[in-house]
Amino acid sequence: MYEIESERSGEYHVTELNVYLKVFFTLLGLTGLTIVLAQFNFGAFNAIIALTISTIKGWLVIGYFMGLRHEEKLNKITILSSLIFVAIFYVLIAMDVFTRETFSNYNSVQKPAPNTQVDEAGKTITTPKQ
Amino acid sequence: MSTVKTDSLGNKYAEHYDNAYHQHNTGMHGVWLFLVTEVMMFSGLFVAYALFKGKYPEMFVEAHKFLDWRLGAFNTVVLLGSSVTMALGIHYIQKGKNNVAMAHLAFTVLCGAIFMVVKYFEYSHKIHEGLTPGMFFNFQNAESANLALFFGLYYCMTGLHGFHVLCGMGLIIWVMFRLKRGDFKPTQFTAVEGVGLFWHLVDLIWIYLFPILYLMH
Repeated sequence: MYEIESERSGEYHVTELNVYLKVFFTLLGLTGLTIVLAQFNFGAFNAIIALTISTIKGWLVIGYFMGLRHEEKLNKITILSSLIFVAIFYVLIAMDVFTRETFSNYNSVQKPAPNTQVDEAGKTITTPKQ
Repeated sequence: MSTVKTDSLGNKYAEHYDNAYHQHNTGMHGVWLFLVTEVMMFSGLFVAYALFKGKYPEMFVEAHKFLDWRLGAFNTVVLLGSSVTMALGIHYIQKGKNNVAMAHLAFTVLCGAIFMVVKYFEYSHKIHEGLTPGMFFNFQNAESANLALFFGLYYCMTGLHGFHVLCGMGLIIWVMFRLKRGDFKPTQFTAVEGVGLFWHLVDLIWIYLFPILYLMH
């Protein structure tokens, strides 16, 4: 396409029409599947099923519509790194929020008096107040 | 101000790039980085949703009955359709068929407008019932004492998303003006592709919002 060699560093990828249409109808099908499956109660699996289908749809949108399949490696790493940030964000806060009940007796444990120390054998030594 | 160079195909690029393709890729990398910040912004709301759902599962089951999944499903189809026409808009610019591309971009904006109209009817129906966020909550027959919490999340998540739809529509109209002016050709379409990526992200976020707000119980 380019006449001068130094301009020929790369060609733009053109995704064909039938690829877009196939992906579009797959996305519609998966949307229908989510709605059908939501009519049943799978208990704890409700969220897992819904989010798994959403993630498959998300991959189709990112890979084909946004063209990440043909993007440079740097752009792939960039956008996928956001998933790591979100995972850290959720996991660290969830570790706090969902384990608070586990340690609900934490405040009722008697704290040692400020003038006590524990020696190497595990014995409590109370130093007399000055 | 950097000097603008022109290559043998008439593509313009700034002098500190090797060629027009190099400039295009650099611009695209900037858009992907911006999308990371967008994901981070929305993830704040998604994490809040996940934590509160984990803490008050019964309240979320009650709350999702107030949302009409048929409207949500309709909006999902509208946004998916707009995403495919956006992608086809770029496809036709790459093929040199600018008029066909223009029609696809116009259809994308129309889909965005339909989405916002449906959202308007959903919002006004809920506000009429008193299902308003936080301290404005005025619904009398709620079983859960903290139902207002769900609607706080609902309005923040769909509101921020709706704001993005409006921004995306504005950006697509901007590239339509530039397309009409003759700024784009098969080897020069960076702005359209950047706006396209933004629009697909808006679609992507709705793909997650629809099941977690309207369907999950």
